Amino acid sequence: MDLNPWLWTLWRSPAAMPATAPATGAFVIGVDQREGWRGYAAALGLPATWFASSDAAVKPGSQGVRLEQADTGVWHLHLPYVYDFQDAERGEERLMESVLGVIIGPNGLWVLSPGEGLDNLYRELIEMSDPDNREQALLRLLLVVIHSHDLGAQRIVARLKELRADLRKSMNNRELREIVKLNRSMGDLVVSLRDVGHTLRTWLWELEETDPLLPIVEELQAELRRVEDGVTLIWERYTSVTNCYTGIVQNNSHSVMKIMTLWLALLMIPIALIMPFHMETHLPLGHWHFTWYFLIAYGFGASLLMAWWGRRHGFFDI
Amino acid sequence: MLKRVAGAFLTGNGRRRDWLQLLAPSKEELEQAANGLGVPEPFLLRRLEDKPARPFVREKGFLALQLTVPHHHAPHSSTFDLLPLTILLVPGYLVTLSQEPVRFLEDVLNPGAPRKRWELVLQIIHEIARRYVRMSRDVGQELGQIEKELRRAQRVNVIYSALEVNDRLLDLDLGLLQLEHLLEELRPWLPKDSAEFLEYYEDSRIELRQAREQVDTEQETINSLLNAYTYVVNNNVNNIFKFMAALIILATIPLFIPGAAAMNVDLGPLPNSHSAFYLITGGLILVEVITGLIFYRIGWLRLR
Repeated sequence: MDLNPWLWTLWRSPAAMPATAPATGAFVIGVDQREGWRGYAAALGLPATWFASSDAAVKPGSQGVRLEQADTGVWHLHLPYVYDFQDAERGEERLMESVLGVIIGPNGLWVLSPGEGLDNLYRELIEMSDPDNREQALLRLLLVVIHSHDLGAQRIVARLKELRADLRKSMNNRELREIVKLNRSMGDLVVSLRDVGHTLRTWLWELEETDPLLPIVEELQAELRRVEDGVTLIWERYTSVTNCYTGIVQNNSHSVMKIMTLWLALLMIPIALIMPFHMETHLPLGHWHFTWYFLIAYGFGASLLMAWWGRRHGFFDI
Repeated sequence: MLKRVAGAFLTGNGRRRDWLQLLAPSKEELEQAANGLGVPEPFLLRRLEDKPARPFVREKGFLALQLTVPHHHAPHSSTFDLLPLTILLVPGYLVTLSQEPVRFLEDVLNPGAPRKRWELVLQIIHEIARRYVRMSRDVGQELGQIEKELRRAQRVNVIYSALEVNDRLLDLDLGLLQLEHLLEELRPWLPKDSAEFLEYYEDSRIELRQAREQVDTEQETINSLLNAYTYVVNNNVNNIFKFMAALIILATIPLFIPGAAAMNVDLGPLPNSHSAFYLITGGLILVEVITGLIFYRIGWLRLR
């Protein structure tokens, strides 16, 4: 039975690959950050000439040359990819940005991904309709790369909304610091998308008119532009309201200070009213039996009256 | 639900074709539709999920258009949901796929007055764009209400309301952006033989552009106003501070005027004087009134 070679085969590391790796089909390989391109040719069972940077110290998962073509006509791409990373140590989910190494040979499509993002990438790749050829598989891969930025922006927006809700009671800068970081990450997503756009445009110029990859890259331009416009819009709108968050935190502190000042004033009123009766002079009602009770009721009564009036004007709102 | 409406639209040659409505389909219905239409099931599934999807997909045997339809939570409400709607153009059918019912589809896809396929697609886009404009107007009107509350607001609730309006406008803007891109991608596929139809397309494009500009302007306005709103709220609180601080100063004056006559030292003739209390208290009241008037004149005792 012939299996469709374009259904994306996953190898978690070069070591997991069979001794004789098939040269036709679409493959995802997990790599760690330590090894460079050097040595992958042998591990993948491909000619060393497939790796234009085999002598360079460019590591998979790091941003090297964005786009290059070896003498053999094999294309090498570095594409930024955003994914969710489950950090078991910290017990939280984080948004990570990494770089995929893509090798496009005449009969094969190889994607080198850092180990942490591998599952996510593979799940996204196999979710859609089955590719029948290299061009369809490549289209799917590049769509996953572009949409990963959109998903990343949605994740950041969801977290920003959570933090914004937390700001209602916040009087310190903890939430604000995270908001600033997230706004920065959103800006990074925009830059990253523009980077993908730049790579694809360069590629478009360099492809021959008869190249079967040309229609794929052309088709992707529109989607990239749409996602880039959307993420840029979200980024612009969310960063422009950051100052307003500062105002919210300030208002929270002000509200507490307002209540404290209010209590201070309410306590000062009886003191001020009773004070004349401390004077070392002849006092009116000085010998009346109920003067003390009267003065206490008078001082605190005035204070209560003030509190009642203040409450009507929202002085106690917090 | 899988519903078939016979003769709901016309092909380019004027032949009647059926509308297949897939509304919150079960797994079996989705499988049946996928097999019958020749569209991969994972493709249909993904269109129902809240994941990024291309607004225009051309695959072997079908064209898929992804739209986002705004839907009011209640009549006259400015809150809404954005419902994903997929239109599939396959030979012989026009398929709509959504999780929630999209009411106006039944009016547009009417077997009593069938329209041509591409005209129908433009009509649907047109209808959605109109809804976006109406929604943005409703959301914009909410800002007026927020501004009224702002005059007296001391808490940030009013800012949160403004931020929610800002979010809703952003959702509308993104929906319109998707429609705009879709319309642009549709251009090469539309029939070019009818000048009337091309004019209709241009009209739709211009209307969409105008709707986006309107939403953009509303949003830019609220974006730039939000900081001012925060300052207004903070200022309202600061006014109370100012009032309280003035009150405390007024309450402090009696601490030192009668306090001076309350010292445990030789006070001369003061302890024996019968009018000393009235003189000092009278003087105190005079000082309080003068200070109070000065404070009022310079605005320290005003709340707004």
